[in-house]
Amino acid sequence: MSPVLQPQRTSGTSSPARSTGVACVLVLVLLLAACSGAKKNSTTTTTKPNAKAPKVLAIKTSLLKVGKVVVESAGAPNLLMDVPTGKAVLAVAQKYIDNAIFEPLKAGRLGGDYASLFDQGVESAALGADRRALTDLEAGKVARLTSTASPVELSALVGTLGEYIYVATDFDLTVKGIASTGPLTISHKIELTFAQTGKTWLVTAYRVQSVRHSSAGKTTTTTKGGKKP
Amino acid sequence: MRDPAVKDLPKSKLRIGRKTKRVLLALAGATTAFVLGCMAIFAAWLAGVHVPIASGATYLRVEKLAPLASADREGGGLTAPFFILLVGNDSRPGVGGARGDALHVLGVNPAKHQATMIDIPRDTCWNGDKINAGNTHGPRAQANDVAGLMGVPISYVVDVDFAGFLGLVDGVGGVDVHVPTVMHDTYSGAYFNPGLRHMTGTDALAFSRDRHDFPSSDIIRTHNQGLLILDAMRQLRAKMQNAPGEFRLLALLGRHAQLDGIGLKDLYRLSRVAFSLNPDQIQNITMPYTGGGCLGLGASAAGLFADFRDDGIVESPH
Repeated sequence: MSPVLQPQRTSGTSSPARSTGVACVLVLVLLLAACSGAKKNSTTTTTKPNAKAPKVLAIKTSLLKVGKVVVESAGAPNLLMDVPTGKAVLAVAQKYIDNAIFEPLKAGRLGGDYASLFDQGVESAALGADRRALTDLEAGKVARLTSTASPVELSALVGTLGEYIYVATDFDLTVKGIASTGPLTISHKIELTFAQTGKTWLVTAYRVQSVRHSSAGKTTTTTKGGKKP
Repeated sequence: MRDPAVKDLPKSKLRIGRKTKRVLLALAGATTAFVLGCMAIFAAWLAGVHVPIASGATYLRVEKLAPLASADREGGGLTAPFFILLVGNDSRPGVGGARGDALHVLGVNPAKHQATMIDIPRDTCWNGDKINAGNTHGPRAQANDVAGLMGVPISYVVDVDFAGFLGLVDGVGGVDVHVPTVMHDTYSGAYFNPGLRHMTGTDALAFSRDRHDFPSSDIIRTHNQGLLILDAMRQLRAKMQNAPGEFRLLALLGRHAQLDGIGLKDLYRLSRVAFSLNPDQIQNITMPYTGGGCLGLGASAAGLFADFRDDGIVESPH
């Protein structure tokens, strides 16, 4: 029997002393420079603060973790997602945020693997009209990059023969940093739907929303792209 | 012990000294609070917290899916009109044959973001028989008959029997249906007052089958079936805004319906297009008919079908 994917624990037990210490550090960090607006049950990847702790939580990138897993089957009921499939899809989602979000914010350019994540049907839109929302390239390089990702909800559509037809990932990602114009916060809601081409999982559909809060001005722009699926 | 110097000071001077001390303390407290407040706001601003006096926001939202793997492609996107036949057949324990007693052709025009549904009475004559007989040879045969009658290319069929219908409706948690008139029919078990009613699968099946309450029998029944489909679409649309909701409905269809011309993979794409439409703007038109028993096409049927055929929607008055 193949192993099945279970949600990872997003929080663990800790001693009261440790909790108090963490709370003190958090209060100190808030007062000095930065605070984190992480929502409940979210996972945050951070470097460990030490005695010479920087004034902000220096985060390189968020590592996605599995949250809720749902399998909808047109055949046998009560199926569970197997670990290799879940890991494979999660890895592509991770590649997406690394190439589309973190690389632009850190280096000012898209990651080299960005285009290869999409299947042919959506690739041109992902590289063209929808790139503004799909990536943070427009935000430019930022300093003091921090990020928070919610657990990834995995959902799958399984056919009558037990084959995976689609697997989707759904998660929130918030990044913060200091852009050339001042502090910048970008909140992403990311739903990626994957289909398998050979052994590779590619993005075949997406629903992405990003909201950028900056000190650059008071302009509010609403853009909706890709109306025609 | 008290300070002798203080002891020697006059009382008035002592009072002034205490007063000054209090004022200075108050000032120091206020200044500290102000500075701390400013620091907190500044820290929040540095951390990217939205501070209205010095912030702006940009909202971006995109949604896209790859085109169909097979037909109905135009320029890389799903923009060409397409037609889906929705069939409810009468197959159930003790009744075989699976005649297509509910026949509804949904035309979707993705480019115009519009759709029209035409309801075909089951008693319509076609090739010397009633048109519902076609389904006894399978969904594709039924689709060919309806396509021949209307002159529209029907690429896809979704066909359910009694059990499938019950499974679908109960699987989505029932449907809220606008009952148009009083129903009191012992044959179908439809006992409803006009107005919005939440229906289980059994209720919805009774509503869809009731024809004895109406002088024109199957004609009103057919139209009511169309109303139920649109009411269901209204509710399902809300559940089809994310992948888990979409997958749930598709899995239900896979379990309870017979699909022709399309698999679940492409049905996902079609359903995203179909559910992006506002059901309030989908016309529900019953085919014009003439005669009784085996029905003929009404005088305006040819014009209606021609209007429907060209782009999947009916624009002319009917």
